[in-house]
Amino acid sequence: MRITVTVSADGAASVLEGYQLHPDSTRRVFRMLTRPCALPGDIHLKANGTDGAGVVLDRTERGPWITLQRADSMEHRDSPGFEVRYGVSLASASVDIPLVHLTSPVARTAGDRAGAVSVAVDLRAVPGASVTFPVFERHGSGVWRARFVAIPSFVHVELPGGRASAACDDIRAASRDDGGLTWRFWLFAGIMALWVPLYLTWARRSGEPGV
Amino acid sequence: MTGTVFVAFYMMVGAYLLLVCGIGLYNYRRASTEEGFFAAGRSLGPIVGGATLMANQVSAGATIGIVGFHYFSGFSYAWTWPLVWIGWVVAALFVAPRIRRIAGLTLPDYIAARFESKLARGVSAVFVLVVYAMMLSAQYQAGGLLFGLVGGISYTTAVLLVAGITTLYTVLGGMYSNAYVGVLKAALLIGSYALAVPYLISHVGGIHAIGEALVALDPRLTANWFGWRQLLAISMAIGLGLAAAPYEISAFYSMQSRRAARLAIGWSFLFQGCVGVGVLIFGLSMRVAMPQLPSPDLATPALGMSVLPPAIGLLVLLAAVVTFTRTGGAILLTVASAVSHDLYAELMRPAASEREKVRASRIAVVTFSVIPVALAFRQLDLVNFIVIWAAKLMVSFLFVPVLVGLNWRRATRAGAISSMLGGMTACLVWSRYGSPYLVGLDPAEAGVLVSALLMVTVSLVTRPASEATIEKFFGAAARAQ
Repeated sequence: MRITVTVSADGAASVLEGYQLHPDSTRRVFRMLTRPCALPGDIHLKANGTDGAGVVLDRTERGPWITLQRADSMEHRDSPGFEVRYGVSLASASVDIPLVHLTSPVARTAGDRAGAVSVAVDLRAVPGASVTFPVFERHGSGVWRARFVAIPSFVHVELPGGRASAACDDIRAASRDDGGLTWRFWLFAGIMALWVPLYLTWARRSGEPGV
Repeated sequence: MTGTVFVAFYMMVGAYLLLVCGIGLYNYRRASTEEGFFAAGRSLGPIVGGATLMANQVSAGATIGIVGFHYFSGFSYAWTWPLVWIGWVVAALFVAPRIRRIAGLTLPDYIAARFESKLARGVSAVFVLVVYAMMLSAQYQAGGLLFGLVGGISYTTAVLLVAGITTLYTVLGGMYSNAYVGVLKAALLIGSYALAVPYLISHVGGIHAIGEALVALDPRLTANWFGWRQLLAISMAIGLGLAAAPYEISAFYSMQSRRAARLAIGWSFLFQGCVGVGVLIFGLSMRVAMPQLPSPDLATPALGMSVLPPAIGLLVLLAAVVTFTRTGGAILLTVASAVSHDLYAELMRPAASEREKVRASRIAVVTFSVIPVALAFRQLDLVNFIVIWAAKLMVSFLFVPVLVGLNWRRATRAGAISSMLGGMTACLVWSRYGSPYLVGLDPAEAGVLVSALLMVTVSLVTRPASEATIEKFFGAAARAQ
């Protein structure tokens, strides 16, 4: 599985994901995690070796996730080799570029250290730009590469001189339901933190003869 | 992970092994007696003791398995940490101070002394072997997954490598190595997690953003994937199992005093709390950052290899390596003591010299590495499910004889033997035919209940322990110790 992200000087990223999977009749469903200051659009699916722009994927949104699938896939088996292509408008100098991934895991070859997913981020059009998350290695002038056992939800890039926009601030401020994770986390951490001094105080005071 | 970092990983693992061997060789002479090998000469203070207790508990089940649990099931499993600590309080109140009244080396020593029975010693030693073979297989499986992915070697080779590492340092140093590698493990875990957690939270977008992403995937991920009924059953099995766990009992024996043992539990809470928060954040963040891993148990290896900056990622991976080799060592030591001390020296060859017994220990360590390796090859389940299953068996046969025996004068030999056999049988039968909640009981709860009923009823109709034993465990001299 090969993913190429190309960032242009005008603050846009184009992403091409090439898949070669085992043939099966499973309907392919994709998912994408939206990130602040990065607006995805024009998502197309195309079978390998075919001409044209491919089919536009139907999208549904739930929380920060966009789910994508072919509207016509009830009638056609998906090809084992296919491409997903889309653009992302970047509205910040420090931004996450979301990557589309299948909703089922990628098979792993035993003993394969590198992983089945190869990602390249081409930043040659933006001098001084870098990929800071997850771990990438720089190859040549402005091309960053990495291999993973699964597709990351996003790659974080730093773009010197990138433009910030008001729309980006609006997206940052938008807050959705977190399912109560925040208060549960702090309650959990608080209980853990409280246990230690309480216990040690008790243990020190409850001395026994001869100890 | 780049080639340079890959080499750095192997160099760090090599340096760790050299350090472990150094500790082992340094202590080789001190470990030339059984007391030195199994009980570290009873020299551990509260902080080193606390690190030892934590290091025993926080196994690969936590650093690999619980991260994987949080990855696939979300937040709810975190509640088992504070619930499990109730088991530690039981240990602090009713087990640790009392069990040090006898100068034993192993848990079956206590069983034999308290219940005046070689048969009880043999039963407990054999059951410990069975349960710990499973527990050790979980460590090897976790290590195999990590080395397989990070090291680029086959899973089979990786399991053998991990088993070799674990066996080597256990043979060399016994409990002395385990104690001081325990401190290293605590420092490495806390240090690497303190660096990794803030980095991860900031890059994934904060706790709130993680919650937004998870609740949209499945609302149970932020709330109650595991219901309270399941969490209580798991926590009871792990927590009460810890109160009577042979390797924790061995650690209590290794401490300077009863006060040191009690304070050590508090220090272990501190270390465990840091690890608990760390593995929670690791699992949840990885579900957002890399949602479709081939297996949840790969969350930690992938985190260290591909997500964290190389320096921090290497530390997290090394902490995981130390975790499964160190806990594997503690388990292997317990298994070895069950064979060499409880079965060989006490039952088969009581006239054996100290040197013969230590040699038997080391042979036992090597020999009994083989069974868990075979189990690890089969990958019975996710790492943490294996740990939970072993804990359920453990609590079913061991908790009641330990707790009741230490706190109830009337407990008898027949009561203890029937309690162990009945508890183990009930847990196995429940797991096979009644899981998850036949008549409202989890297999571990059924095991403990049957074990307790048999202990009480059989003890009441059989002859009490001798006056000498009652005096030893409950007399004025014992209380004054």
